Amino acid sequence: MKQRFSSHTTLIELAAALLCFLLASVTVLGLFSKAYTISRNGRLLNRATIFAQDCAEVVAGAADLEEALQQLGYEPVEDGVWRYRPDAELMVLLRLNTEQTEVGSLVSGKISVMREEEVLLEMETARYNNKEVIHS
Amino acid sequence: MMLILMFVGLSVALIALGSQAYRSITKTAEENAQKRTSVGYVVNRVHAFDAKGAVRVEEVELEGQLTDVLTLAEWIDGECYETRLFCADGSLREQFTHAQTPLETAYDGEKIVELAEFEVEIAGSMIQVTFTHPDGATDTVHVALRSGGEGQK
Repeated sequence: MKQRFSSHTTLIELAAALLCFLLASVTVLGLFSKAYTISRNGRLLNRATIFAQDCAEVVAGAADLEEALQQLGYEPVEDGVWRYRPDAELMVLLRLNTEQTEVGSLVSGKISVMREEEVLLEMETARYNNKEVIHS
Repeated sequence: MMLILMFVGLSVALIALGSQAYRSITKTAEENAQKRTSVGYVVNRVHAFDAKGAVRVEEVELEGQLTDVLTLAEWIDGECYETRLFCADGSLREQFTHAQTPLETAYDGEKIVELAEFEVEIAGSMIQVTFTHPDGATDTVHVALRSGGEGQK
C-alpha cells in the first residue's frame, strides 16, 4: 500500500515537473518569438526608410521626373500615382499632386511604403519645376 | 535522478535555442544600424555640402584598386578644403584635408562604418550611391543637389 502510494507520488511529481517545464519553455519561446518579430519589423522599417528617402530625393531633384521614375522601376498606376515593387516584401506608392504657385509649378508627393496592406511608413516631398525662379 | 537529468537536458536545450535566437536578433539589429548609418551619413553629408560645384566624384587608385571618392569642397579663410568619402579596407572612410593634399592610402581616412563597396555616379544634379554591405546586401540611394549647381565627375 505504502509502495503504491510512493509510486503514485513520484508519477505526479514527474508530471507536475514536466508541466512546469513546458509552461516555462512556452513562455521563453513566446518571448523570443516576440523579440524576433520586433527585430524583423525593425529591418523592414529600415528598408522602408531607405526606399522612401530615395523616392523623395528623386522627386525633389530629377530633371525629368517621369523618366527618372520609370528608370528606377516605378510604373504608373493611374494619373499621378506611381508604384514600385522592389521585391515581394515591400511596395512603394507615390501619389503626386501638381499645383501652380507664385514661384512656378509645385509638385508635391506623398510616399507610402507598404507591406501587403499595412502602411509601414509615410513621407512627403516636393519639387518646383521652375528652378530658375527659386534660385534667382 | 532521472527527473533531474531530464530537467537538466531540456534546460540546456532551451538555453541553446534561446541564445541562438538572441544572437540572430542582435546580429539583425546591428546590421540594420550599420546600413542606416552608412546611407544616412552619406546623404546628410552631401546635403550639408550642397553648393554649386562643391560636390564631385573622382576615381583614385588606393592599394592598387580604383576607388570611387565622393569629394565635398568648402572654403575656409580663403583656402579650399575637402571632405572625401570612400570605401577602403572594408570600411566607409572619411578624410578632411586641404584640397592640395592627395589621397594616397586607405588609412588616410577615419573609419565611419563597415562597408564592402561604395560606388558613386553623378548625372546632372542627381547623385546615385550604391552601398554594398558586409552581408552582401546592396542599397542604392539617390541624392538630389538642391543648390542648382551640377555635380562633377
